[in-house]
Amino acid sequence: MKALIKGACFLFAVLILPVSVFAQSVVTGKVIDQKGESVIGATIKVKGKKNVAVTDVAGAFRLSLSIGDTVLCTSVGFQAREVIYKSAADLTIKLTDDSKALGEVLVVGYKTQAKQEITGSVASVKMDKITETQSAESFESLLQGRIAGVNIQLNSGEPGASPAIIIRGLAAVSRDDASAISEPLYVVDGIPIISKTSSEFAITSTNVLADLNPSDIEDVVVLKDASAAAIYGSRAANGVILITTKKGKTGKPQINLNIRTGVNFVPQLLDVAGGNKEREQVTRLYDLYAPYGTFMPAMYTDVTNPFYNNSSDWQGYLYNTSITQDYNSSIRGAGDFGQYSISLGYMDNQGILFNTGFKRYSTMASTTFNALNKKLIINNTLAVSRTDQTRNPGTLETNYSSLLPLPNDPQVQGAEIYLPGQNSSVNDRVRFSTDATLNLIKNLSYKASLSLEYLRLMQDSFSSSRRTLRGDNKSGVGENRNLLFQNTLTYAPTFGGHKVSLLVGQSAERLESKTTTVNNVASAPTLSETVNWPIGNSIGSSNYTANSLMSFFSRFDYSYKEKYLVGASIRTDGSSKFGTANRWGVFPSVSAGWNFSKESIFENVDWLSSGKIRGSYGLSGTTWDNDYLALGIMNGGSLDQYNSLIEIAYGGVSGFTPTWYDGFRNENLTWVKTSMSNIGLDVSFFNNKVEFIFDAYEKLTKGLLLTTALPTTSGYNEVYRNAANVLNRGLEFTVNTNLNLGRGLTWSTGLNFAYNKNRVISLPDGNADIIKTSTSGQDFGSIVRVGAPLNGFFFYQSQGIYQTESQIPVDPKTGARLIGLQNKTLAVGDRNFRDQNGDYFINVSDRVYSGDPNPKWTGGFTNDFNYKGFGLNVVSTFVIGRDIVNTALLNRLRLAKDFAGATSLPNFDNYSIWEKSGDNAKYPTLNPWADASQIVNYDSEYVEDGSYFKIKAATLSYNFTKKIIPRLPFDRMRVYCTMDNVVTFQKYSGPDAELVTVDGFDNSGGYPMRRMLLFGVSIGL
Amino acid sequence: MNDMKFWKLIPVMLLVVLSGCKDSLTIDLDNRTVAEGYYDSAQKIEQAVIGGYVDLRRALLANYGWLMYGEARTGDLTVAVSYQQAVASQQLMGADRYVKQLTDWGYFYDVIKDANDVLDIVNNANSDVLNTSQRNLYKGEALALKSAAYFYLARIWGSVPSAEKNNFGQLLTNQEAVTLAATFATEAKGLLPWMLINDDGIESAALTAIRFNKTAITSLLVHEQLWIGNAQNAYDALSTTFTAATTDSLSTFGLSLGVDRRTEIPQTPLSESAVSMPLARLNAIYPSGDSRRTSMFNILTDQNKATLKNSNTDGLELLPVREVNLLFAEAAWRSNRLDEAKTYLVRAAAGATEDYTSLTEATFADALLMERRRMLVGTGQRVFDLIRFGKVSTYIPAFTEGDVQQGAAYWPLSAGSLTGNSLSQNSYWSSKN
Repeated sequence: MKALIKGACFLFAVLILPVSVFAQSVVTGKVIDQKGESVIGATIKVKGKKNVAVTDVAGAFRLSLSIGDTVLCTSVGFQAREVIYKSAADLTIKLTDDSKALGEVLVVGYKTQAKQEITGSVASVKMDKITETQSAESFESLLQGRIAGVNIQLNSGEPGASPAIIIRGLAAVSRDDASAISEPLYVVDGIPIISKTSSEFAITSTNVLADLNPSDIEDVVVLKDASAAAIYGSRAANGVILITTKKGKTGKPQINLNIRTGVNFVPQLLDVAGGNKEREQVTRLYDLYAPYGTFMPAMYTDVTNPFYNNSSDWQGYLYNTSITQDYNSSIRGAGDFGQYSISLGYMDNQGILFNTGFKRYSTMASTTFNALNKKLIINNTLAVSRTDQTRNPGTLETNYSSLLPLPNDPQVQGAEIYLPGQNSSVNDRVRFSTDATLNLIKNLSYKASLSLEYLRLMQDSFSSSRRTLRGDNKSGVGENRNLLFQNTLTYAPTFGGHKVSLLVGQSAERLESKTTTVNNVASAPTLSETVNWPIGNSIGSSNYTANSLMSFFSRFDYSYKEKYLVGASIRTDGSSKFGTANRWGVFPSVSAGWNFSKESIFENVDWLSSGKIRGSYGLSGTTWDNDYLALGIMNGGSLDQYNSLIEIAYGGVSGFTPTWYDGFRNENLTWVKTSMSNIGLDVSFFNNKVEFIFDAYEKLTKGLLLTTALPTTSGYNEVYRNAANVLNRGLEFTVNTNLNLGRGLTWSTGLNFAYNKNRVISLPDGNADIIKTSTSGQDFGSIVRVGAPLNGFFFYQSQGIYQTESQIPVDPKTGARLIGLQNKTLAVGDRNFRDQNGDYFINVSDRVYSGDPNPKWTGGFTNDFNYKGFGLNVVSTFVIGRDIVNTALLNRLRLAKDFAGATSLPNFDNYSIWEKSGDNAKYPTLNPWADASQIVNYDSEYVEDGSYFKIKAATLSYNFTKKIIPRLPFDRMRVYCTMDNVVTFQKYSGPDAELVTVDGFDNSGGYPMRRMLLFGVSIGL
Repeated sequence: MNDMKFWKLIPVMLLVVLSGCKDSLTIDLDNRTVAEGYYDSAQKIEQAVIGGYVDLRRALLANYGWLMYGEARTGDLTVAVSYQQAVASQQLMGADRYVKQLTDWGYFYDVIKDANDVLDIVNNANSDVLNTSQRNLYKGEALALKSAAYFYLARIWGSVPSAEKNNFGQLLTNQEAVTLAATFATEAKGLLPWMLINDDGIESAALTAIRFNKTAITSLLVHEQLWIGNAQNAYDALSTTFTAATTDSLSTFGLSLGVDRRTEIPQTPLSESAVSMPLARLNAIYPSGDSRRTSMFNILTDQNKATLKNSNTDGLELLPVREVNLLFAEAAWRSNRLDEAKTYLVRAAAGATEDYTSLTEATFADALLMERRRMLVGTGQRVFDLIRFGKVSTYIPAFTEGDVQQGAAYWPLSAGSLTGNSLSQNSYWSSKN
């Protein structure tokens, strides 16, 4: 209807234009906001004419107008307003705030919906303010602490690393993958994108989402519950993240420029004894424990050694302050023709560790054309980006003994500390999508969209040895193509108080991945990134995989007077990953809401601005990476460690039997299905000054894929089955306040916190415990057990340290003393592990569930202060109730016989280490010559409280406007200074409680998180 | 506004929607192989047969299994691996992962599964894919492999579950399992040729030596019949098969050695660095003057051991031709033909210092057992012979006769075998738990 009126007005305007030219006169006017203050820089346009004016410092404008003209007034931060010039008088246009709470429209699955009509659990974050003053490689890290129930953990400080995002609790089980996480689905402007590559096809390890420039994002919507997400069917069970990119806004073209430079400071590193202290400690260990005839290495005793008094700071040498540069520019605008938006971005983030860094080049162009008088709307988006991650070609040790000279010492030049060469990981992504919406008849529209995404991952590494001159080349390319075609038909009539919206749609998607890698080892390296092919020992391999997904979906929403809301959706997905028998999955959802504040009894309740109760239930799904798992692939040979194909040979013939499968063919494999129920309450008080959101949910994930044992007589060992169930239950609270403290000082806060309890409900093989073990047989120390949270620590229970001989238990039957791990004869000063099964022998069967790495409480707290042009913004995040393991310390305390000079030592004074009877110590004797070390991997003493409160970012900014400086050459200019990773409050004794793997083991040795001080200026022309 | 006829768009939309409906959910597995439809030529079916041999090789060679189940367990041979001592001292329930792997019968059942798959494939193959001789050969080989696998299973673990379609999972007694194996061997014996033919259509000795042939299947069948006490049948099978006319066609059967992607499969299983006999043991078994001391062994006095002279580096002999006379001797003796038995024993035991012509009913068994020990060292049969002759407790002092009655001679079952098939250990091994 509105469109028709607009169309009619347009036509009318066109028709009378020649007449009215003669009737127009210059009018002066003023633009004011709700408080009556003048709005500076607002654009006033006459519809259908070229007349444009911009308000001055006083909010005044002059414009040629004729009676009957429609005037369109726009200004950033305000809702656009159309006014018809009725009488020949001065025009005053009052603009209302584009306020967040009121009338906000959010993108939800395949449509947009007014926030007050949403019945699911949906949260949104406006990104433009955040990205204006914060610089990040990927948008996920900027969402940290902003949405209740969305737990984002940056578990490495390496430039280009992928954060872990878990929405409403972990729901992924595996036997041999410590890092299995339940990943959400990412949808950009309505198109699901490639957000990761399966491990088999991951040529680079750079975060695939880092090629999406955060500055291009307008807002991010997270669909948390099943009713909101179920429309995305088989991929939605772990939540859906909808990203809307910035588009042009009506008014004069907006040209934005954001230039910033950051200084990355090295944070707290590992504690190192250093120089003399190291020598003292080594001497002491030798004095105490060295067997007769064992002497300290000469580097500690030979005073003529030129490095005898050395105290090299290896960490200081290899970690250095570095610079981050981030430049973004854009030009955007809109009009009757449609809109345009073009942006450019460049980021260069040098890592604090030697030879590491991340660069991004990105550009995005988005255009919208309105044709046939807005009957046909065509959108085109082209996004091209490249990320380039630099790493060390070999492993880079940062904890050499501090007695060893640094490589910059002229006496040791050429020492093999790091390998010369380079390792670059380049990801290129081209995303092109086009869609056409046809408004067929009133309230009925059809939309077809086509998207082609091409992601190329390239890794080239070259390293050579200074000593042997042997060079290694490796070159790999991975290509991922995603072709998507979707059609939707929407019918959304309104009659009386009834508002109906019905959508039916179909989509087809095909994802292909291909990799090619070549390796080359040459004794005489040619300094080149290319593998010289075909030298005899160059070896290459390639791989290909594909899957397709076909979907039909529908959603229905109904509201009556915006008071009573009902919604339902259904999607059916068919995937090529499954056998024909079990190919299709159906994912329905229902929801309802009641805007109780609109009831008449609340009519006179002033303090209640809005109130809504909502409830929902739905089913959604997930699949897995391996495209061919259900198909029973025969596997006749495999690649050995040198990547040559081993053909199974028997008498000159190669064997190839049906049993050599990737496991057994299971035609019954099907979707992992997650049912989620959610109840929620949204209320806001005092004219939206205080907003409160509460959600409670239960998420039951059924049929997670696991291998299960087959009878050994079957000829197979194992088969993949939909075998494990996991339950997550939780509560989410969000409190937002928006206070005007008077005299121009405003203070808004956003506090959110979420509680999640995770529990394994059932496991295969009669609920047998799964002790996670890598394919190479390495025990991860994690257990998956029914009734307990996922990935608990499976450790030996420490009871302190044996102080006297009499404390070591003796078997009354045999008189034999308890035997320690690895058949160690226990002695005073050893770790006292509890013999759980009472067999007087400490072994694997004495391990118990010793801690839960899943955070119980997560959340964030943001504070915004604004005073005149000044702004102060502080973002904090917290995790409460999580156990983590200080593996970094454990590894450093575990000394082997040849420990002296091998690595740096921590300052033992900082740790309570047992030396003699009576020492009330936490850590057992560090005797490097003991027949078995008592510093063992799975000692419950190293489990620590992983709770933390982190002030993630603090920004101080000043906004120059024409109101303050009338002669400002720009529309506006903001200067700002942001500190990122400000301070962490934690109980954890390691460097940073956030740098922890998903399963709870310290990861700080990997790459510490820098502290960044960012200075920037954002200019609007 | 009227210049656009919307109905014109309807066929376009229909086309668009329908094009999405075509079967896009089928992925061409260009670079993967699935079993369905793969075996469409004689060569490919032969690959499946070969897969069975590879699995048998895995079953016997992984962790030196064939010796661990045989001479390494009795201490006649020493394998230079960490778990040799545990096996030789009959500590078979320990935590050592290699010993644990040895208690797992998975690879033997892989052989049976492969053989059953081959039988299905052969039965379903059209005549244009397989000719009659190919069909007989592959079927015979599959049956022979299956027979061998069941026979090994029964001899190593005692009573074992069936993996046949009609009674899958049912626990077979030792007698039942070997009887089943003998049925397969009998059928295979009628199908297998004396000599196998290579791709050029020429009889190939090399090929015959590593795949089941008439000699090997007859020896296997005789072994099985002797095990279940059908000495007369064994004697008949031998005397009707091995006649003067067939002497030139005899062939040893062994496993071909080659590359396997399972890296724990040794490619030179009898290499001097791995397998040896302690010198004292050599002196006890082969008295001085026995020509086999030097014909079969390199005596390394300085290292106090002897290593096997390995004439065949391409294969590992399992059923050597030299055993035929020993089998004749045993079948004849057990079917009450002592004199004939002595003749065969004397014929077999060339190089022995003893005079076997004076053996009596009472002394024949020990002599035959000793000759089997001497002549078949390295083929992994020692423990099976001890069980068949009832001499386990004599030669494995760790066991009393009571232990043997309780099942000590058999191996304990692995944890996977127990839980996956709802079985329990025999009474000897459950008492050791």
